[in-house]
Amino acid sequence: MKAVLNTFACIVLFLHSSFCVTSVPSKDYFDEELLLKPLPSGHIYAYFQFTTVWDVEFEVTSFHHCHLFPRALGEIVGHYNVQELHISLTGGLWRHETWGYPVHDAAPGAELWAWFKESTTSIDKTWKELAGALSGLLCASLNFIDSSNSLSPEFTFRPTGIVSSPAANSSYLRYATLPREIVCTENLTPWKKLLPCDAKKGLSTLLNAGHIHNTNYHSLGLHLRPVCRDVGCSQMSVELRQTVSLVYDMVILGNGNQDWSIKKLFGIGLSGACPLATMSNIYIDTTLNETGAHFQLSPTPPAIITSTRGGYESKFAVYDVKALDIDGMFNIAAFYSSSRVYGVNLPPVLYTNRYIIGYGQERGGIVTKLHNGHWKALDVVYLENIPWFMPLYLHTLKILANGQEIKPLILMDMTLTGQTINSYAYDGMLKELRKHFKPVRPHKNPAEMLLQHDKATHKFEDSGSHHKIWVDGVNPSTLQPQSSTFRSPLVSSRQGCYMQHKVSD
Amino acid sequence: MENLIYLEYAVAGIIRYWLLNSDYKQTIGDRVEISTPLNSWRKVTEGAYLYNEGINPYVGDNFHETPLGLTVFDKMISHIPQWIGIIFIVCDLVTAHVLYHTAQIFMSELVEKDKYAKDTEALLLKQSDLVLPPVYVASAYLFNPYIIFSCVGQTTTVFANLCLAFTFLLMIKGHRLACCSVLALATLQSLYPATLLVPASIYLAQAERTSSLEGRQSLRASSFILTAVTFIAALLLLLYISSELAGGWEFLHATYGFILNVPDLRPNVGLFWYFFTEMFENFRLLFIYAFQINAALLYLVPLTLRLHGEPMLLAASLTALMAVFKSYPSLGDVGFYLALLPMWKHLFNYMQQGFVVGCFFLITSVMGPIVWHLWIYSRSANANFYFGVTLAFATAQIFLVTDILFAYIKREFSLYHGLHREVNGKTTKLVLE
Repeated sequence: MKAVLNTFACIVLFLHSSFCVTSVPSKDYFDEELLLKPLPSGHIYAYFQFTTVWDVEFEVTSFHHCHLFPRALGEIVGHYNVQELHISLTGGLWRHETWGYPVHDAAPGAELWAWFKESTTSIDKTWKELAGALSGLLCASLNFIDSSNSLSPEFTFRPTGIVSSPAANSSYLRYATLPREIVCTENLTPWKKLLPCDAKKGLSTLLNAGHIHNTNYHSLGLHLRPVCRDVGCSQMSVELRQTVSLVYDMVILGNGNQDWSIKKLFGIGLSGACPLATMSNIYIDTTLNETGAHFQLSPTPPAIITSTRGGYESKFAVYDVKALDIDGMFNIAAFYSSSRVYGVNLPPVLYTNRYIIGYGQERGGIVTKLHNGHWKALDVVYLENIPWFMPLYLHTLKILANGQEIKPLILMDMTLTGQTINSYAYDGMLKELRKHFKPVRPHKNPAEMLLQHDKATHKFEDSGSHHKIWVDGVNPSTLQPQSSTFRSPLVSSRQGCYMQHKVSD
Repeated sequence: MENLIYLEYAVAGIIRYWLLNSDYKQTIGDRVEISTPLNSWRKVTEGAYLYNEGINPYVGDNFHETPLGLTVFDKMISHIPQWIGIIFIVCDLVTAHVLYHTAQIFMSELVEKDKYAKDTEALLLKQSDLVLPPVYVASAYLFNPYIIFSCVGQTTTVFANLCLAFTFLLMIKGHRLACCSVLALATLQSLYPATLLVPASIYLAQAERTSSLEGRQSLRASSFILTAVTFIAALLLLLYISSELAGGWEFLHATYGFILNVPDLRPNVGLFWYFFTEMFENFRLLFIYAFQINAALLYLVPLTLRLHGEPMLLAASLTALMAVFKSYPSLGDVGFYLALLPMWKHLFNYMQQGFVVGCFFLITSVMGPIVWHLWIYSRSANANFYFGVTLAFATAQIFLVTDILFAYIKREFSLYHGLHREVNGKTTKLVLE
């Protein structure tokens, strides 16, 4: 009997030790990057990107032992069978027309979209639970995501990471936005805690709530996806990118001049790189130096790199924080030679503006204008989620391009159960836009979409009845021209030109 | 008389045609008093559009017509769009003619054969009293602004009224199968007409009794059962056809579910919207039950017990109560039962509230659009103003219904007890308590 017990104990020990061996955290590394870009409008765009790549199989058990990867997030992702996850918490509106495309575009308020693994059984339930768990993780109202505001659009989204099957099945995708969400310090603090160095050391020390939430636009992002470990893609890694996009208005901050510095923007100098980081770089876009207001960087950048994307050449000054050997506080400042010169504004390839028409509380209409800045016609995929309190008349859909009415190629409808009246979402492909966009001076004639709707009566208990009405933003996307210079052929306007630029450096 | 009625049809048709081709058409069709989510042509167009795009219109909550209606309207919109207005006008004129015919038959029934009290000769209807009411019925339908607006606004109430008119006609003619089929069609569209099964079955049973050889005998239960079974069979058949056309049963939720649950609280002339806007969610189910029972069932039993001898009046009062209490009433429903009232022209002398009700109708019809504009466009009023007007409108209608019923009872009392009434030597007056 004793012998048997001993053997059993040995087996247990052996199993345990072997388990321990397999569960030793796999190889992982952490990069931190900051891009500072003066915009032609005089604003400064600051983009932080913290990337954790972990060479591990994307499974539930993998997330039980984490090293650099945040375990709190890992457990949620593993438990809810998530294949890919994107969260953004945004305040303010990104002005595409004057600012161009951001690295990561985000809807106003909270935005969440996730691809689930194909083994997931009840996706709607899992989706709601996932939103609830993330709501706790980030102290955001993501728990208000339910079937009434979730979509699984067929055309607009593609997985950004590697997939097992080439054809993306949108039934595993869920997308939701909460345009009313107000982003504040309470979201930033838990977001920072997911970083390996927290906000103790490295570029994340620059993220001080007081200097982030007084910007024109601020957006926190969290993007998780499976990526290839090597060129042959024989094995998989998990990549987590935490991003912060900020737009500073130098008219307000500048005290009469355009000069800016890290200290001026973030209220604090840099004390050094995160010790856990493999790479810690600061990039400053100096392209405008040649066309717009000329500025001098101090200290002089150790390296200048050139990047060509979509026919545009960009120049970046690169500071390797690890190599700087910082003693005390480090600051980068830009001094302008002239007081205030605005650069030439080149609107991006595709941008949108929309407004409501009509008067009174009975009915109205939404007009969306799609501006094509490209020299030739574009196919546009358009996604819009109409909330239940704006009952929509799809038969009034009218698309005008250059004075001619055009018909959408595919009109997909995903109707969802709403609170009292169901909401409509449509994810259409305006393929025929191609025929009617004239190549010359495309900005003069934006394509115009008109839709009429009613205004529903709110009940006494409806949340919106005492507040303003918030309607989701639209999601136009297009196949970018000159796709060969991009890693992915489908870059929506939301995830603009700069999307891949850090990765490929 | 025949020429007069045809002239009326022509004039009514021209009025409707002129309004349909005028700029007022859109304004009239957009009025909440005329178009409800259940009958608006805008929703029908939307449903047909979705249907043609290959999208199931019943999954979204913006379309509430039956699949049968959808198929017919879709054919109309896609094949004969230029004739749609004409179809509405013709249906309205046919409704008027059917009501005229119904009134004529009803008048012949009114000639009293019973033995009444001695001094009641003055009360009895003479042949000459029965000539004009059918013309009044047709005129009340043809020239009632509520009906004209309902037709010009292209509401599907026009077709519902047509079905109801045919139900009345076939009921009085005693055609069981046809009557039950039309009633089933009306029920399929708006659910509430199901209550008309009771007066219809009484009528059909009476028709069977008069046609049988034995003459006077009590109504047979088998006749009632047969009518009910025919109606249910017809309704089930229509529902089955609908499900085949729609490719599923989701339409039940979008049509009957919508009527019963009242999810859309856009104001209308009814009483539901305001009440359920203000309702705490946990009481909603209770009050849905209360309101729907009030609309459909509450008055059915007492009225049947009292008026089983006069099923036409029973049917008319049930139609009126339906128009007052249903979840999405429109002025087209109100106009329909108002057109029936001249059939009881001989009761008008007994009515006391005529002037009050008339003033109510006039004032609420004027005030409704005014306070709507103040509330929705000028933002200087609020929902309570409009609700006040709809409440007054409903009150006026209830006054009208109770008044006509009480007038009937008073006349009946006088017929059996004589005109001279004395209690303990004093002359008395009949009062409704």
